[in-house]
Amino acid sequence: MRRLPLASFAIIGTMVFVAVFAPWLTPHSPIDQSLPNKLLPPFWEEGGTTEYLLGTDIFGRDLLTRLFYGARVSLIVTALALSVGGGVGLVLGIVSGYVGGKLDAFLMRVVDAAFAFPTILFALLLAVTMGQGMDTLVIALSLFLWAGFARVIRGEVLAIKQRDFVALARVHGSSPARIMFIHILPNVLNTFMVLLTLNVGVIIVAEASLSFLGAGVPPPTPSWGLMVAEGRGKITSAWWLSLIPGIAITLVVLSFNLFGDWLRDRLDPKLRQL
Amino acid sequence: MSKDPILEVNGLTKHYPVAKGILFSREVGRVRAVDGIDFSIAEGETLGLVGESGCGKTTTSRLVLGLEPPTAGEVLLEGVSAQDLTGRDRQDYHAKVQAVFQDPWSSLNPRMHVGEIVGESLRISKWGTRAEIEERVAALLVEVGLRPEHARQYPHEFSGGQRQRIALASALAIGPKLIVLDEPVSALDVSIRAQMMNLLKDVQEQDNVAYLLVAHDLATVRHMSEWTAVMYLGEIVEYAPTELLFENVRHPYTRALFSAVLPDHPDGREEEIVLTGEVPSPLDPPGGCRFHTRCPFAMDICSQVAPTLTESESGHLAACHLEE
Amino acid sequence: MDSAPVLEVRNLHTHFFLRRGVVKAVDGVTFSLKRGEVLGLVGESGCGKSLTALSILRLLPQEAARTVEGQVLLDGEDLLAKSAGEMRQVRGQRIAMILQDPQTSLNPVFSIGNQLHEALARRLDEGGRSLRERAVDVLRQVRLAAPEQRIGQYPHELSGGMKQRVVGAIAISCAPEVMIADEPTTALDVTIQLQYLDLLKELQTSLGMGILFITHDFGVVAHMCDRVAVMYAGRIVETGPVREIFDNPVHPYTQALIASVPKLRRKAGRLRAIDGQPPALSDLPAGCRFADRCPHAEARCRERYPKAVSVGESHTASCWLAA
Repeated sequence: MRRLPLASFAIIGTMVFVAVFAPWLTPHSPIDQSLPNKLLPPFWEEGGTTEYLLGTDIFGRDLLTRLFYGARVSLIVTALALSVGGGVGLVLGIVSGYVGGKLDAFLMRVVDAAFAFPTILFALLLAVTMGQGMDTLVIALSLFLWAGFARVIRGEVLAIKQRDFVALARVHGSSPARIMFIHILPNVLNTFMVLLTLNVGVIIVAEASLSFLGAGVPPPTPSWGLMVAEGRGKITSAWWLSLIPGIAITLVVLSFNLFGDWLRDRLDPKLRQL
Repeated sequence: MSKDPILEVNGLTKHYPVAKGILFSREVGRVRAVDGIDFSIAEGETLGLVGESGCGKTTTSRLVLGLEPPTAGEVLLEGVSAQDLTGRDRQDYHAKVQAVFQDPWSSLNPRMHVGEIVGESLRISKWGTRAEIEERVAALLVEVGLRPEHARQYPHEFSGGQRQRIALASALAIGPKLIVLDEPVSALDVSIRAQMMNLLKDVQEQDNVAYLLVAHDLATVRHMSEWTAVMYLGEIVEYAPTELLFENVRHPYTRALFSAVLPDHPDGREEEIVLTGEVPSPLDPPGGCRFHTRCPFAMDICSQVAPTLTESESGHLAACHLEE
Repeated sequence: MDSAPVLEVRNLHTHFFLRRGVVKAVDGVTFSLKRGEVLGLVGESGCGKSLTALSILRLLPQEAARTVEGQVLLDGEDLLAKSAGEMRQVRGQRIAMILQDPQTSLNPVFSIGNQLHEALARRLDEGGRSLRERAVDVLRQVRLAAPEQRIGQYPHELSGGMKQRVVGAIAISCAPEVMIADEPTTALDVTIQLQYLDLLKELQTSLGMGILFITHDFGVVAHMCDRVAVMYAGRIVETGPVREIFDNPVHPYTQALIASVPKLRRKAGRLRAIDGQPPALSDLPAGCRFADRCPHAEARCRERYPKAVSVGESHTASCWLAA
């Protein structure tokens, strides 16, 4: 059995901590400009100061502060998109798998269609029609997420449906709704949890990509993807602008994936016995 | 039969259509899982339904439980048909018939504790207050040989035999008239089977519940049931009071089943009808008597005319041309 | 049959090393199998009978399981001392195995012929026949109808009984000295089960193999076996010729097991059930492992494990009451 990935756990914990307590952790504002201090390098480089540990951007804003607030944006977007997209996928997956027949065939064709849909294009379209913003971002990401959840959960339900306790629930006189949400739902929660953690990484990358393309959170709100985008013009002279948020994204996504793998093993009762 | 029947099954038929084609599917045949069977069970009695896999005995049990609608025929439980029930009527039907299935690892919801599992049918029918249900669950656990404090544990903490007891307690909770027992001991270890069979008999005596026992093991059926029905390819070929049937087997298929039972002593080998070949597909059952392709006594008429169940001694029915 | 043993298992210990402790699944098992003999290894699930078979073949299921002590002698050579490469030569060529579930024993993506060829190719044929001819021949030996057509078919086209015959054909294709059959008929229907058991007996007589037959069913034992070893909680509690075991069982566990099975020819009012359950293998008592369920248990039964004592001609039992 795999051990708890401590490093991942620490990175995820740090991210949540800085996101929640950002205003108390830094004396700087993430938005206010301070042009005299623009493009300061990190403190260990020549010309860097310990006041701006990771340096500043072209408007003189503290990079570390923006990273903290960016974590906030990432987490809020992720949580919302996962609750909406994941929740819809969970419910549709259970209904589709349990009810079966024509409804199942229809829903699964919709899922196929959703997979075939160019998400990024659709998000750009939404951003143009609805305007940039967090709500647009959450809607786009949810539309992208639900199909994957629905498909996996449905597969799980198809297997659970064959088990005798479901037939017995019908013999006891349970209604279909009761069977789906009292008897079956608790049995897919493990899978759901694993899907959630494994999708955190996907969402963070997607959010960053969309913000990078300009379809995400509008400036000056800090978002990691946006920070990478803003810094890419100065990549030769001020490497930290793009590279540091890029490293943050990589570390966090990797941590969530490792954590998800661990959780999957942990929650699989067959593996747990060993 | 002196007592009124609890369960009456008349002309019960279940066919599953087999479709072919990707774009435009059409029916190419039907699996005749159950093909026009009749039987009845009296209050507090046990009917054993015997046959090999694919003979339709499990489908029959699912039809009786109302888990699937029949293609034709009816299942009457105290005169009420299992079909087309909704709402309150459906709950009333399910309050009268319950089930214990073969595999105790699959029949208990791993995410519910034992108290919830046993009390489920009580909660659905709003049988009483929370405290009343808890009290009843405790009493049921004692009745099946467990302890009241087991109610707070989860299924994975129990052995196969104990799980099957929990399944029985759950079936008994609502006070059913009939319990369908689908191979209730065959997944259990040999040393545990006798415990479970004794418990089933004790419970029957105490609660006067009728059993429909689906099994492949003749010795289990003899031990448990007053009546025995033998199924082959969706049809009942022999149906009689257990003692009559075990003393005087009439149908060649039943005799073959008896011959296939392994001896209980190394010297206990008896005359044999060893069947050759395997059970034909229920998708396209043989014409005439369905057993004629494997029957050592088959005559010309057997492949042309299907025999009907005829009575010899009181209540001993068999469907075979040799008997006419 | 008084020939030399082809397979001898001496004091075999196979344990699972888990985080929560050591599970002594096989805890000192000794028996021998002669050429041309069927030895029934009887016990309930979890008694260690299947793990004994896997230990003989050195195919232990997980990394956590290890054979820590004992010898497995095939014609006098210790299999536990062989290298992994030598062991591969033994498996399939000198010891064959048939498992319970024919569904999972065959690879669904290869034809019957393909799977037989693989087994047959390991051995050169004296007659110089082609693989195909030999495959048809071995399928004929296991009485599979129309073998010429079958070799082109895939497992899903065959019924359970036919599949188990193919598994049998693969097992005998290299004329093994020993066959281990682990509940080979449990998944089959009663009428098919009888056919299959008779086939195994026939093959055994014609090939002169020794068969280690693992089962929980005393009916199978009565029909198939020459000798019986009854296993309980990791140890063999009684061994003897099959008639001795049925007519004169000495160990209370053997007695209770035989008595608890309902009889076809007699109607019993109430079955003689064995109370309780087997002990947990991770927490075994010091004394006799059956003591807690035994109607005759005495104080000494709980204190020390009884040695195997002879209670008749080649009939031994581990019980204080027999000593």
